[in-house]
Amino acid sequence: MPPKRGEPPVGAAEAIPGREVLDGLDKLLEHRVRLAIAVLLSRADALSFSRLRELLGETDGNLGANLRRLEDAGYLAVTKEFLDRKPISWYALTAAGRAALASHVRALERITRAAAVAPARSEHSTGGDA
Amino acid sequence: MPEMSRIEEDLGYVRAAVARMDRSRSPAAIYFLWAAIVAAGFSLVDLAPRMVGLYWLVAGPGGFALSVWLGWRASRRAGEMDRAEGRRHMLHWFGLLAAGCLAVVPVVAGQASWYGFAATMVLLTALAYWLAGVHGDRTMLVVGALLGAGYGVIVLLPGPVWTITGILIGAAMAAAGWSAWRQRAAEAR
Repeated sequence: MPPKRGEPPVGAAEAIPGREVLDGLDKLLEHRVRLAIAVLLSRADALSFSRLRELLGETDGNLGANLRRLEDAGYLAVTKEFLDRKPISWYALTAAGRAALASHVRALERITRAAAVAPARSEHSTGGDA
Repeated sequence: MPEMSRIEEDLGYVRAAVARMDRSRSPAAIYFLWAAIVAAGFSLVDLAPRMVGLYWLVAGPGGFALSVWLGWRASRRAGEMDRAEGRRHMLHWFGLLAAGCLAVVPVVAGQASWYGFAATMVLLTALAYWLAGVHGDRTMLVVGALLGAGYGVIVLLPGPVWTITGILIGAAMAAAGWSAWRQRAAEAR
């Protein structure tokens, strides 16, 4: 079965140089919509469902499903209220969500650094052989 | 390396969402509020100079408080709660209010005229709008530049230039408000 849009392909991690650089990656945040939700929420106290939908350009169903997964993991806290008689759901990142995002971003930094070093090394060794 | 290209694509998606969030826009109502306050306040210098001090004593802090409330209400309606951002805006405009209060001191001490105070306030306001435009809402750059030009007119030209300057600056702020309102309406569609 092909991977869903945004989901990492099975076995794809092996394509990245050095398995140890993947330590700290959060499985939930490997999905780009969930990563974007966490990053956006880390920059504000809270965002509404409609604001997240506007910023991410996702459908209600897709956004709702991803928010639920983050909420179930304890990464998000939801509060509901009425504004101008309309129900509004506010999403905020919890301490656990903030810690997971920080760890995930550090791992991504290690991966991009490792990927930047790997081609340079291979070019260097190719140049030496020639 | 397919995995790396996927990570880069994902980070590009996140970056685009963050860039959309960073598009700082002030609510149109704040522009319209200050367009009215400035147009009336400047005209008073020519039409009823004795009222200028009292007018700004009320309109300055009153407009500031009303702007804070309008900003808070607009951000909630837009679906964003960000106390840190609110504090930053408040500190920026409170700086102008505090500078305005301090600029009164030389007048009270008899070292400067009310005319000089009013001209200084235009220049301070121009700087405050300009810096707000540099660090956030680009529309404010235009208002800042117009206020700077207005300062030049007030200082260099004789006659009832305050009324004309006030109306011009008020019109510029109203135009900025209209532009902000249209942008917001287009994004909401």
